[in-house]
Amino acid sequence: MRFVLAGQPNSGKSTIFNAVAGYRAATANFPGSSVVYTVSRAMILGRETEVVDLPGVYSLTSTDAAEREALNYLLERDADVIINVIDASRLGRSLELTLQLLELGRPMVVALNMHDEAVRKGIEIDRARLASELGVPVVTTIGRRGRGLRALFREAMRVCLTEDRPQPLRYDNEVERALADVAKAVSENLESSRVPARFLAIKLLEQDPGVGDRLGRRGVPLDGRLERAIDELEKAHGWSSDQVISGSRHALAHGVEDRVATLGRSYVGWREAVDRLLLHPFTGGPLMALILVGFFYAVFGLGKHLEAPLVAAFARLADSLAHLVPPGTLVGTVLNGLVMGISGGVAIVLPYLVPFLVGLALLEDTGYLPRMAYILDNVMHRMGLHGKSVVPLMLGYGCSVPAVMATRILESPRDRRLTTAITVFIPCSARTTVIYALVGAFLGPWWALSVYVLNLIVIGALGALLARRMKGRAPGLILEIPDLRLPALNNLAAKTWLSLREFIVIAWPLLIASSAVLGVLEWAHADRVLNAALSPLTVVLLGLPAATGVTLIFGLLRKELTLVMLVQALGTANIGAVLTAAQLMTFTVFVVFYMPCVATIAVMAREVGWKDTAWISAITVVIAVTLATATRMLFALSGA
Amino acid sequence: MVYDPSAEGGREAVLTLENARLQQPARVLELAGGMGVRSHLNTLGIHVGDTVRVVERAPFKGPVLIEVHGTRVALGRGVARKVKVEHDAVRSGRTA
Repeated sequence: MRFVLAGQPNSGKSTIFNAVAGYRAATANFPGSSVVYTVSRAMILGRETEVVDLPGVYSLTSTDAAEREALNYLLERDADVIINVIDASRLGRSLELTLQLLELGRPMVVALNMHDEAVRKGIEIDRARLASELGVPVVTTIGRRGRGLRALFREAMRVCLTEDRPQPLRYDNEVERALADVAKAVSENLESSRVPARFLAIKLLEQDPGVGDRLGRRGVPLDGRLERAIDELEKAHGWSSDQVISGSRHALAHGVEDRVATLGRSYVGWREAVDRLLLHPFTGGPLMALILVGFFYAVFGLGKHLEAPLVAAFARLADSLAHLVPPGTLVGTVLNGLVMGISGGVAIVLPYLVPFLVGLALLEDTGYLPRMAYILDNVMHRMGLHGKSVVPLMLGYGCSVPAVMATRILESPRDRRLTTAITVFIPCSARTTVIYALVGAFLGPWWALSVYVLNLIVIGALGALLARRMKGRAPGLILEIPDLRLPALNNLAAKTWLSLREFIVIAWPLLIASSAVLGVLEWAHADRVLNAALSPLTVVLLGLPAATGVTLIFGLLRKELTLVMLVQALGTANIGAVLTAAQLMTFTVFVVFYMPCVATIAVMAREVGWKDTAWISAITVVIAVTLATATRMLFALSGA
Repeated sequence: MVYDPSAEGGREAVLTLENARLQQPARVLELAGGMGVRSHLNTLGIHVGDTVRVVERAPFKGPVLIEVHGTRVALGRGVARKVKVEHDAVRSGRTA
């Protein structure tokens, strides 16, 4: 049995999905946070079911990647039940998708979600009336609090078992006539189709490129009947046929809304006041700078307080271990490597990673990211992009992998390539721990901040440069700005845990294993061979100790490894005692810019192809070497 | 407000979301631009005949924030320029 959750962006599908499937789908308060579909098996009312969370789409057309993904899924696979999640506070617009879903002729249930938001806005919805207008069951839910979900899935199960297939609503007469003609032509020429001929006829009349190609490839001849119908519609209305249909659907949806919803007094509260300040022409920009710098300081301050006692404790442990097993032996080096690996994770990475992830989750869940897109739109235009690119870029501070995937929210392939290229330069949380734990901890927060500023300058310059080389122009920003929302604590915790688990389950074992491998390498003196091979770069050019060579190689696997391996290679967590200020800065600058990690390379290759991945990676190395060398020179000149 | 004498009958030139008055309801007259932009605007609930309101305009030719059917949407200047509108309350003697 397969339940498919479909709904518009930011309607709370993923929140409902997570409630039944455990926390698997990333949720956030901005449109398009799910760009791929997520599948999970779940026991619902004692039956094993497959639950699918489709990416949020405004309509079933194929204008962007998420929409193509959702449409293809619905066209190619069988959904036993479609659960259409709609944002009750945006009923009219949400219903436009609902009407399209009804046309698929699958059993369907509507989840009237975010009911609390609607109440706050003074919107009252007659649920029974809505159900009778649409001809499908409607269940009121508040996904964030888990309310109504049981009833929702019970209804879904019921329509699935009874195979209640809804009837599509009727458009105005002219559209219906055109539809009937084209649907007849389609069904005469297409033997069998999963989707009703009427649905395909609508897509054809809308001149949807995706569906047109799909049928075109199968060689469906419509004897010019489609062209005739399009012609007639355009003549009768004076608009293109796609606008006629979307206008007719719009009128239909808003007609339903008018009949079932009554608008009372909306409650204007702190959110509206805060939002005014956040988006105001005078206060918006400065507040954004304040929020980001405040974020930076909060993470740094918290991390530092957590780090110091942990590092001291592990240093004591390593000391006492050295007394038990002498360090020169194989067992001794491996054991030491293991302790370093574990302590690197607990004492150095986690203190900065946890507050950072919580902070990023806060920015995502409150809905601040799309507001940044609004404020930074014209800055991004200077890089030949528009504000929406801010979303993947900000996500890049968490991890490059989801950031590269998030470029799918951009409309044009050119924007996606360009944004991908600059996204990998954003220091991810792993590189952030390097900045905080090396530069921040030993040189001070201002130095750490300067690394970020340098990074942004480089990204800006690179973006402007690349934009000139890539043809085409950004089509302009069209982005929904969701209401500000107080993040639910459980959601915040679950989200932080989802990212943290990634570190604990994948990165940490790798970290500990790599530490042990490095231990063995050191014991066999094989690390010297690697270090010697890299010494032209590390020692000659950058003026770093030769031991940093292996850390850069391990860093390609996971950026967290760089830091932990450095601790081990230098034999102390008190790195400031071993490296000079110039070396700390040079090393950090190099690590921040050079080569994306293997996971990022893999996802980039999938999203933009190997050719782009190769040149982007090459640029990262050139920039890293240049800037790190320049850093060394600057320190040498200033006599530090 | 832009005044364009070449516009028919010497009326005020058609407004767009780029220069419509802040906070005043405006009716959409035309969505210029390619099918991509148009269908994108459609899906966000912006159609010909709909009433929208410009909430804020970001400085330095930044985007325009509008409210339509209770939803806020940010439109880049280029896109805003493509949405032709008129204010519902037309001043006396100027009725088109």
